[in-house]
Amino acid sequence: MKLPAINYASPSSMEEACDLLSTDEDSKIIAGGQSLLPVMAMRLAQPSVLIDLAKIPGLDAIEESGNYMRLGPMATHTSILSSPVISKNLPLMSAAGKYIAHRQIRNRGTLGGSLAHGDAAGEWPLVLLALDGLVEVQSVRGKRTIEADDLFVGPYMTSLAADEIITDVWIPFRPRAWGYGEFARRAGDYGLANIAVVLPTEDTGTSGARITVGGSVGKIQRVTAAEDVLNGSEVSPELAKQAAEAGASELSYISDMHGSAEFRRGLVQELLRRTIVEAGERI
Amino acid sequence: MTSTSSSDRIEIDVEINGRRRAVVVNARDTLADHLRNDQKLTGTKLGCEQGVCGACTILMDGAAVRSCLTLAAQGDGRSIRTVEDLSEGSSLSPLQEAFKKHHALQCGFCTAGFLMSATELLESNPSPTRDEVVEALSGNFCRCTGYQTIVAAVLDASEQIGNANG
Ligand SMILES: Cc1cc2nc3c(=O)[nH]c(=O)nc-3n(C[C@H](O)[C@H](O)[C@H](O)COP(=O)(O)OP(=O)(O)OC[C@H]3O[C@@H](n4cnc5c(N)ncnc54)[C@H](O)[C@@H]3O)c2cc1C
Ligand code: FES
Ligand code: FES
Repeated sequence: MKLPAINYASPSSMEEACDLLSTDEDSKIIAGGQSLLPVMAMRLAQPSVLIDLAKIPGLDAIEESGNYMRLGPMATHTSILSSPVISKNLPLMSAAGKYIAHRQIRNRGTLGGSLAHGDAAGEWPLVLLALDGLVEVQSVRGKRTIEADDLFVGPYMTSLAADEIITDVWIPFRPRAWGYGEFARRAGDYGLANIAVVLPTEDTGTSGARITVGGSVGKIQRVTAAEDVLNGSEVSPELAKQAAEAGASELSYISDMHGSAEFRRGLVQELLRRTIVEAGERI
Repeated sequence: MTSTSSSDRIEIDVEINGRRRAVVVNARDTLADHLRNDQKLTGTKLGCEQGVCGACTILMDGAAVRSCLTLAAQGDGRSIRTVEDLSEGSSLSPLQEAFKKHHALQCGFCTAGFLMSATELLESNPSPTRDEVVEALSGNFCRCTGYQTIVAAVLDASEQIGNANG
């Protein structure tokens, strides 16, 4: 369908964008438009004004800053996937990002848009949570940071207030072993299940595993029962199996035309096992 | 255009197939709407209008994008290329010739989108592998051909272009 009638503005600074967003409660930020415009075409959203971040300088940065990678919200999926500093410092991000949609969508879609959209099967939310990242947000009321652990609260729901804009994304890059697993029926579709596993290495001790799951479970979340099994022990194929069982039985599953809850539970358990094994091999 | 106020009519300065144009567009219009209705460039097709089928694929600053998921207003300051840009007059480009030779189209509705996705690929990677071609075209649907002839055409075109460039 054609888009509903809207107004459009393209401010040249973050302050102007915050002002515009706060004056009209039905206004919305547009970044790549790859989630928002389909939602509008389906009439699931009808914002009054779209506020485009494209003309605000400096929002597409991808750079090292101390022990963190700092990424601007307007960094596109394609620019992240083709960035040598990302593949060096955050190989999990490069591995997961390949599963996002198709080239034509990755050329426009952005990191900030993906995090704010908060799809329960989105690769960037899953990875941000596994890597213990955080976002900095700004509004007319000031700035604050939100840790990934507090950001994703439900399907398409984040803890961002309606007038807040993501201005920076910070991801620490200490040495960590990682694994990524995703199952989709067709390449490029949102995954029926996706899993990210981050394990500590010899230098960092044996505790601090972070395992995240998306897709079949309604919202991006950590699989703490599986983390608990792994923490303090050396990863073996047997331990991976135990952790996957513990993790899969802790979660609750959605059931729809794409798969029953039972099918999804089996899928998540096996993906968990494989992805923990994969990460274990990188320790 | 930069302004702090919002409007339902937006002035943009956009280059389309090599010609710069200053135009006023509706805020609600997608780039596909603008190309087809205002510019009468109807080679770009609209199928699903929600980013799934790829029929509307065009190039924006050299990158393949969905023109149904890009606002016309977001074209400001950008360079757009559509399927109309590929041929010179009535002489087809090597890629278009290869589509013809390999029967890579039947109804033709998907063709402009495939051509533009393939153009981005061949411009950034002149000798792609078969897997790279399949990956680059994976976001385009074709309900007629079964895809094999399209992949063969793109691989053939990459050889033709390689030979022509010595
Ligand atoms: C066919 C198709 C398949 C797809 N498959 C996948 C997939 O497999 N995996 C995946 O992860 N994604 C997928 N996507 C979505 C795509 O990755 C989007 O690019 C992404 O979800 C949103 O990014 P965007 O820049 O396009 O955001 P937009 O669509 O512009 O915005 C999305 C939301 O975020 C808000 N927003 C944007 N930027 C900010 C900001 N800086 N601060 C605060 N709020 C902001 C907007 O107001 C809006 O509510 C798919 C999309 C399509 C059309
Ligand atoms: S019309 Fe744009 S992707 Fe289908
Ligand atoms: S030729 Fe008919 S859809 Fe592709």
